[in-house]
Amino acid sequence: MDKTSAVEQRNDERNAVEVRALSKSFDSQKVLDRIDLDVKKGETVAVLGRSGAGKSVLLKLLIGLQRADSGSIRILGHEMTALRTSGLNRVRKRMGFSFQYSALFDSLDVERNVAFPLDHHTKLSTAEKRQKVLELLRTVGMEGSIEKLPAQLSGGMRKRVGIARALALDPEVMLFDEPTAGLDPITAHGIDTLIRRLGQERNIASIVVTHDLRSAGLISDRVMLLNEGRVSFEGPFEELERSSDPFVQQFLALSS
Amino acid sequence: MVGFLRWFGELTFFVLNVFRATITPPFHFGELLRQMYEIGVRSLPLVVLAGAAIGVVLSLHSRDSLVRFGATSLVPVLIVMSVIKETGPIITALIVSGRVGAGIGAELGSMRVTEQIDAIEASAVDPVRLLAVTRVTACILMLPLLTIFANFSAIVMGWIANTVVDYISFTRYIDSGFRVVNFSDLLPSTFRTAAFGAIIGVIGCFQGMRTKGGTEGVGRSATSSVVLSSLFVIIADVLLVRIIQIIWG
Repeated sequence: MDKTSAVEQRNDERNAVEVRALSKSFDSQKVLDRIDLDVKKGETVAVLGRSGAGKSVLLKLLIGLQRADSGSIRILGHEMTALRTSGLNRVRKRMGFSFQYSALFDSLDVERNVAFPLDHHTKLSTAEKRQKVLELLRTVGMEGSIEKLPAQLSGGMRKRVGIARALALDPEVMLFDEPTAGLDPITAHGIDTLIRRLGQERNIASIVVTHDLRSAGLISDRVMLLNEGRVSFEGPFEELERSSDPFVQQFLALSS
Repeated sequence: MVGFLRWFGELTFFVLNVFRATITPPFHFGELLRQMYEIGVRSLPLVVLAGAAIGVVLSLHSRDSLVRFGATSLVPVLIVMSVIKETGPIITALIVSGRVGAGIGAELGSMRVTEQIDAIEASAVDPVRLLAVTRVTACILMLPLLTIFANFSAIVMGWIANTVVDYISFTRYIDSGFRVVNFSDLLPSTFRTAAFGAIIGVIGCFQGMRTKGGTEGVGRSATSSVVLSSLFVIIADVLLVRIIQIIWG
């Protein structure tokens, strides 16, 4: 094992995600203000907060779609804020991102959507890719829709296909942006169960941004509550319910 | 003014980015072929039709003018020179600017607002390489070819329109039309449309990829792509004609 690999492995064994003093502003509005967050492999952290609290921005900063103003983001041992595009892409191949509105490529069918990362980053044959796509679609319960276009799918089905695409390269870190928003309770429960199962079976470090308290309680090992760019609470969901913080109390009261 | 300077700075940075991505791997040949089909083959009927209309109009106007001087024998050469040196290239560029510029602006704009471009980036694929380089390269390669078709269509339809009024055989029309035309008229004029293609591709991709504001933003991107690319094509045409005249005389 070379020196770099040894260092990477040592870092991987610690937290998969380490965020320190992360700040981000848009014009004069501070969206995130010195946020700290650690996520271990196999652990799922739910990020809660009001609309505009910076939850989605946090995910986009983690995967490098936006640049932080200050602070540190270490993903699988790599300092993301210091990486250029090629370095970012090496880490992104080990990450998956499930978008709030799925962000499926509307001109491609389900098979080509899920195969997109495989087409670009693997040398698998067409048959092997199809096999892998089928396996991923089976994981999310969508194997019957392989030839459909995104426009022919319901919101919940699109979310599932988006998750399958995000899982294509067997990520070690998964980021979910509002995975159950706008879904009926039964479909939302199915997605929650899937996220929980993925974290446990694949030892994936997951960060789930959500408005949905019930969902956060079901899937997360820990929750983080954001308010005006700062962390109001971080800990197990049960402790959140017992918190005496006025904002936490108000958030819980109005969410339930 | 500050807004314009910022826009121009971002455009310059984007052009450099596209250039760097064009000359370094990985290359997306499959997507390039698809775009060549979309931009080239699908624009062909419109370009040929526009060329035909120009040929007919040129024939009617030039005959009408030259009759007054008793110089109707110059109609073929006037049509051919006018089509090859200016009308064919600029009409092709403006037609493609309208059809393809708007298409690229709207498509990439829609992909931006629905986070599809973010999804490409999150999948560790460079969206500039996949979306912009392929479209810009396809525009550069296809514009000269489309211009040749437009020129051909204009010259043939010019002959037909001329023949309806005053019969002249096609061979004599071509001989007469191309008598004073040489390579320095044909090649620079045709291949300067590659520069028009670069302008249309770059402006369409740039405006599309920086779209903000939902469906309204997509509409704005499509419109601004057409307006700006047409404007820059006309400006580039003036500059390139002068440069060609200086170099080839």
